[in-house]
Amino acid sequence: MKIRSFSRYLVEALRSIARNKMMSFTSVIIVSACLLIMTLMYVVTANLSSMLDEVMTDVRIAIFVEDFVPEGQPLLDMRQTLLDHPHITSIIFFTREENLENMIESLGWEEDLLGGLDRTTLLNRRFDLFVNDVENVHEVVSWLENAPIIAPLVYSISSDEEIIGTLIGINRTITIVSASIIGVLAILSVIIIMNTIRLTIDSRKVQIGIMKFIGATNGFIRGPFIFEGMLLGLVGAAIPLLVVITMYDGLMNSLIYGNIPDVQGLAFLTGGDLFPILIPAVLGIGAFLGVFSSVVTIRKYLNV
Amino acid sequence: MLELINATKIYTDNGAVGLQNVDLFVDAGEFAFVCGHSGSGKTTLIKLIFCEERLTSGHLFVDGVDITKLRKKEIPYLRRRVGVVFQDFRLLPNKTVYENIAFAMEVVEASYRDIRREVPKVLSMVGLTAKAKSYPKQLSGGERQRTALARAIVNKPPFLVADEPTGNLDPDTAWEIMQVLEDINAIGTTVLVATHAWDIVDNMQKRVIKFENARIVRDDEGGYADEELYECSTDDDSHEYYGTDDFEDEGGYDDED
Repeated sequence: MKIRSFSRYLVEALRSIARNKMMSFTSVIIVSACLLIMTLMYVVTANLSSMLDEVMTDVRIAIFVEDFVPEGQPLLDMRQTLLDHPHITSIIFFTREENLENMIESLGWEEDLLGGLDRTTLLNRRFDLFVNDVENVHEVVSWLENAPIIAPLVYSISSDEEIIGTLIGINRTITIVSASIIGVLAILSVIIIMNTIRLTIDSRKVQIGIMKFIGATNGFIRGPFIFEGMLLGLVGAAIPLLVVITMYDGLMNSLIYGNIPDVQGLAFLTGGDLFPILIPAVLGIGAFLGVFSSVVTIRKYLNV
Repeated sequence: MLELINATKIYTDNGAVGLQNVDLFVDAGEFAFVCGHSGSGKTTLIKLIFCEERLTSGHLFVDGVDITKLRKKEIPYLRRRVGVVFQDFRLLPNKTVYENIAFAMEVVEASYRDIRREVPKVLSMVGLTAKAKSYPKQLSGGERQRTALARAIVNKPPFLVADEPTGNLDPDTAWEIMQVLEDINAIGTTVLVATHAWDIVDNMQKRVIKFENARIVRDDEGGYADEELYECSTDDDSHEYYGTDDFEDEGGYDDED
């Protein structure tokens, strides 16, 4: 395509948008609504994923070993059985004493609080298991509780399964609800843009007829319509991006530095993490929605 | 330039026969009139030449190319070699005379330099230099047809076809248009004019190809139109094909007709 044709397509497309102001405005608003939800969904799920990743690096299942399991080979066999599980990546073993010291340290107790208690029998021996994916924690816990090879040797199990499950659940719900809304809005966007392009085609029928008999190629006739759809999609994408970019940093600052104890230390993504992916993706989806709608309309209504 | 070999056109929608076993040869540089009653096949021939319709059987060569075998995407390139003029002018109402003519060059992606060079030349040739900035609504019928002619020749096609180019014009203006067509022919362009205007045909003393019932019944060099043809000239057959009555009211031409 020649640069001259490119500029002609652009000018024709801008003229059409100006001519069909209301339909163009409606198209842009619908595309914006669709992409705003998509953008927000991405921002929320990306942050949740980041938090889950953060949690996951320290996701461990602590199992306390039954007293009757002897030291030495049986304990080593038990360790090997645990390691053989496909979702368990590594294991740390704690003796009774180490276990107690850790507990005292984490609770901030004074040494003399234990008085004359026998430190060698107070707590069970412990394996901390690291799992390859946070989503597999439930499966591993269930195996530990039920597998005949390991369950009898386990005194108790401790994990953050519930919290992890809640996070995963929230993430999934947001994804499903947002995807449904986005799907409906995307279809609506396509329909509205199609109608806008159809109006343009109708208003240019005379010109198209003349162009045909003086030798215009199909590409030359179709170009402005495709540009018009692309422009509507791009403008529709730029609006939610501006909204989200403007608001995100402010929101993050108030969340992180706003003395809200519950969110302190959570792994929020910065604008620098999000926007290099978000901006081209949203603009690309906007342009795709516009071009797709134009192409479908042209195929349906423009017989060149 | 134009050759039809055993050409037949049957319209699929109503079964009407547009052309039946027609053989015709028009040499490069010729000027020929196509005459005949309404529905005799004149407009079908014009439509076939610029591929608005396709032959049912036989062959049609334009400028050496068998257009019966032309693929759809090649049609625009054929149309660049065939200038077309219609009775209803088909000008863009929102463009000036200059812009209407330049538009034909823009469509074939000519450079702005070429457009600036060629448009004034053809404006001068059709005598419309002074009207370059006027809109079609500000022009007389003759001036509109001159604009249409200028647009048809601005890309220098070797072949120009005109379907009832004087149908909407008074006799004096019609004669002026014929003079312009003759000038265009004089620079080497082959010209084929479908017309009912018997007086013009008689005066021009050019080749006359007469159609009747979708066949050629007469082909004379320096021929005359028939009185009989004149009797029928009030039935303008191009109306039934192009819906020209409504063209002006709609502000242009609907190509879906």
